[in-house]
Amino acid sequence: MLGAFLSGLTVTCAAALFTAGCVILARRSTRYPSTAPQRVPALGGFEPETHAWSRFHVRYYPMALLFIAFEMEMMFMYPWAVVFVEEGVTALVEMGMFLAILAVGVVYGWREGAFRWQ
Amino acid sequence: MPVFAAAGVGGWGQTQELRGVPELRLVTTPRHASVLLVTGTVPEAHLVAVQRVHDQVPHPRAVVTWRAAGTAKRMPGATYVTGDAAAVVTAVQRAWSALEADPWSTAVDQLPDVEPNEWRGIGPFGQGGEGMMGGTPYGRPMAMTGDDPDGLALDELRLTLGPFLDALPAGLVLDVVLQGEVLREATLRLDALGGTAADATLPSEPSSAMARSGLRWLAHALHVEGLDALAARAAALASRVTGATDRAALSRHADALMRRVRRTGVLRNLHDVGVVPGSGDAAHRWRERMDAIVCALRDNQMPDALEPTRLDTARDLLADALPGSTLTAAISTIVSLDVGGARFGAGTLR
Repeated sequence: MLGAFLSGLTVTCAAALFTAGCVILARRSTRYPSTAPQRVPALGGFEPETHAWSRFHVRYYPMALLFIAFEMEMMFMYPWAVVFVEEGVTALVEMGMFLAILAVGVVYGWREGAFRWQ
Repeated sequence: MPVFAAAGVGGWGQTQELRGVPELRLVTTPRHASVLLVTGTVPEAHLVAVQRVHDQVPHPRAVVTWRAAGTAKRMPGATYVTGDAAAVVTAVQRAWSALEADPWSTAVDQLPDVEPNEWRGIGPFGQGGEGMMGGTPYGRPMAMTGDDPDGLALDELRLTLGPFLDALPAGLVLDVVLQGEVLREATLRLDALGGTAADATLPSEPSSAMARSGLRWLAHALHVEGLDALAARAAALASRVTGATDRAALSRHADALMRRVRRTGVLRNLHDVGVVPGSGDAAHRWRERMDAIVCALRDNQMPDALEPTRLDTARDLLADALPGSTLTAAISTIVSLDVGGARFGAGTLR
């Protein structure tokens, strides 16, 4: 049991050491550290008043939701088709429940206007 | 050699022709450059802006000024060039070689290395503020929220683009309020100079000067739309216009170039972009200007379509067109109108 953790810990430590080594090497090999003007976006001469942590509207959100709804459905339908042969009606009912839940997502997407092409 | 060109008043047109010089690679931001090329007159109001652009070129860097005037003459350690494009290439090559030989010979920073606000060590995590909005996290305050057309309160990012932004005509400053990728407000201004006398003198061959100006515009517009190979062709053609003896051959070359541009599909991309009353969309303006360039070369005419749009006119036209569009569409719209361009190609602000 401990052995499994040990190997994970070893890999984590090795990765951390490698990353730290790269950072130290990069800092030492840089002749010119960046200055305040270099740390701002290149806007053509001016600097931003605020920084760029801003919340904006994820307009593709309803479309992404719809995509996930349909993709999950298709992903599970292929293995389900194999199981259906053995399980019969039970599998059919389970898939019906699954599709009903996904349909709620599609209905929500519909309400949010995901089907309107703009 | 990666060069960032900061074009001042009267230097924009000649800078566009450098796109046709194979030895130079005009890059879109100072971060990608090794050499800063300052052309034309940089007014006092833009001194800090050009200094910031200078400092944003990573070390080791060199500075070359071309037919410079105003504050551009005060760039420390710069090589001054007054000749033609070949002289610029030579100067840039020399500066590049000097940097390769001695990287410590870099041009020194012009602005102090000072953060806009003290923030280190302030707040529970040392990020400069308290909570989500307090203080100045990492040196700058958080953006305030504004109403969104969808009924949301979203952060408004206020930016000032220009006057040395590669995608905008020289000296033009664009104040924008962005919510995500959508422009909520946009204001064009020229805060450096008012009217200049560049257009008062009529050149000896006005139709040639106008065609050259149009080709310079086309080179820049193609570059902004990501068609750099065609931009280089347009720039090379522009540099051959003045004093050309075989105008018929030039117009044939221009015609072939316009066919290539049409085949790229760029006009389809510009369809319905920047629709303004009486001027159609950006694709329509491109078509008109491209036809006018060929016409000016072939028939020695001075078509109205090649007239640049004055800033006050552009402000009126764009008052309704820019808000609600994306930043990319706004830039394409401004470029298609040739806002602040000069009639005879000096690239002078009006």
